[in-house]
Amino acid sequence: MNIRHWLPTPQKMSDAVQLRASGFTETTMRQSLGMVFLLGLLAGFLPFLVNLQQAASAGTALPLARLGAQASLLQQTPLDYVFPLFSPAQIVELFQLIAGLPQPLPGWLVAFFSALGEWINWPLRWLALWIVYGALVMVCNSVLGANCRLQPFFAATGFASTPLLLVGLSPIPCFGRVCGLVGVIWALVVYIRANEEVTNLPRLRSLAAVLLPLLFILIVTLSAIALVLLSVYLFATGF
Amino acid sequence: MLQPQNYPRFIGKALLLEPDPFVEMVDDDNPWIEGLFLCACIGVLVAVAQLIGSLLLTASLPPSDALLNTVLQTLRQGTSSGETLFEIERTLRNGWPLLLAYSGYDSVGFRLLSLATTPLGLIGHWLLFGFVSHLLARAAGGQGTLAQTLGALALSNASRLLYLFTMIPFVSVAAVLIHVWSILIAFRGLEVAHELPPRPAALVAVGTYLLLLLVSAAVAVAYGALLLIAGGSL
Repeated sequence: MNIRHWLPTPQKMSDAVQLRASGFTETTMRQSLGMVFLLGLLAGFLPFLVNLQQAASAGTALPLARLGAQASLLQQTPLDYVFPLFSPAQIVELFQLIAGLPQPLPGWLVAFFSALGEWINWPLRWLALWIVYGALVMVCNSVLGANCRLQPFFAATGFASTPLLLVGLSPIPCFGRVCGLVGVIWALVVYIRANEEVTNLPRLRSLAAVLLPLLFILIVTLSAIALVLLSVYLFATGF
Repeated sequence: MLQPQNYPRFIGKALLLEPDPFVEMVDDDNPWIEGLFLCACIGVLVAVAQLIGSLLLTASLPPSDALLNTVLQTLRQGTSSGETLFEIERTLRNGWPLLLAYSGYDSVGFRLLSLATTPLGLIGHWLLFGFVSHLLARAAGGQGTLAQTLGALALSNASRLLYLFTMIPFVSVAAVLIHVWSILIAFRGLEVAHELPPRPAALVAVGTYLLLLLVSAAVAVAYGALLLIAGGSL
């Protein structure tokens, strides 16, 4: 297995993040797949260390350690939390009780497993974003008159994961959030440029093809939230 | 003739939407047998991975009974009145096993059962998807035979191998990723097997998926209605 078959050259990545047209050509979908997965892993490394430290210090799985941390937070600001079924004090107690329940495996091993699982989720989420969002954009491209094949499209748009690497700095207070925001905006710009380059659509159409799926996802999400709220309301009022 | 030694190469290339594995599948002397064996292999691998993941997850979390009892105890001490409390507790107790089975937490028995049901379910889905898409592809002017369609579409299950990552506890693979990638692979398979232009092939792949989704939703609604009518005792 040759690494050059699985990753584009650093020069290509550099060209792509600087929005140069040469960055989006002569790359295969296999190289893009490798790049998205590897960059996802790299971005998740710092959060992995933070998660591992948090879970290991609590001696439990990461979700339970987070519940424990949430309980401490609620104790400090109980008035900020409103829940109709429990009082804030009971919520704190419940979270602490759950976080304190013993598990069969040793705490350090559970902490490692849960942090590792969270780490592996990073490249999987990036893959999902790349493939699912890409498929939606391809539908829009096709409707807007582009004549482009799937493989070159995915090969080019994979480069949007390069600036997304900045999201991995998110555990750093304040600076991390800013870096994350910059990374997301930069990735979107690279994505729009890649789409324009690979489809040869005029800039405005290319922009519309990339942004329309965002609108679609927003509408679907809002509809789902409305449906859930309606179900809860109907359940609460006994139909 | 069965060629399992080629499956890793086929799967890798199918995930990258390359035409070669579909061509080889279509040109095979028994494409549907090859497809059947490929689906069974993927199903068994996924089920084993999920079983290991379930065992590790169960060992990494407190016993589910203890967790449920803690929540119920807190609920009883909460601000809810008698009837509401009873309703919430009933819903929670009914939904708990489903939640466990879905997440793999403390449901090793269910995961053992899925060693048989996952490959069978995958084969059933593949046959149904293959049959419906064959009919639609023929209606769209496709030239392939049913056996060739089934052979090519077996590769659309390649994306399910991402579920192998669930061997590690707390890893979750988005179902939408699996389904969308499957549709993309099916689109390439239909293009090759039926020599269809891209647009009709895409319409057939998406149309088949939506049709099956609609039928599944209708069956689920009908089952739910029956369950309501029978008072939850079906």
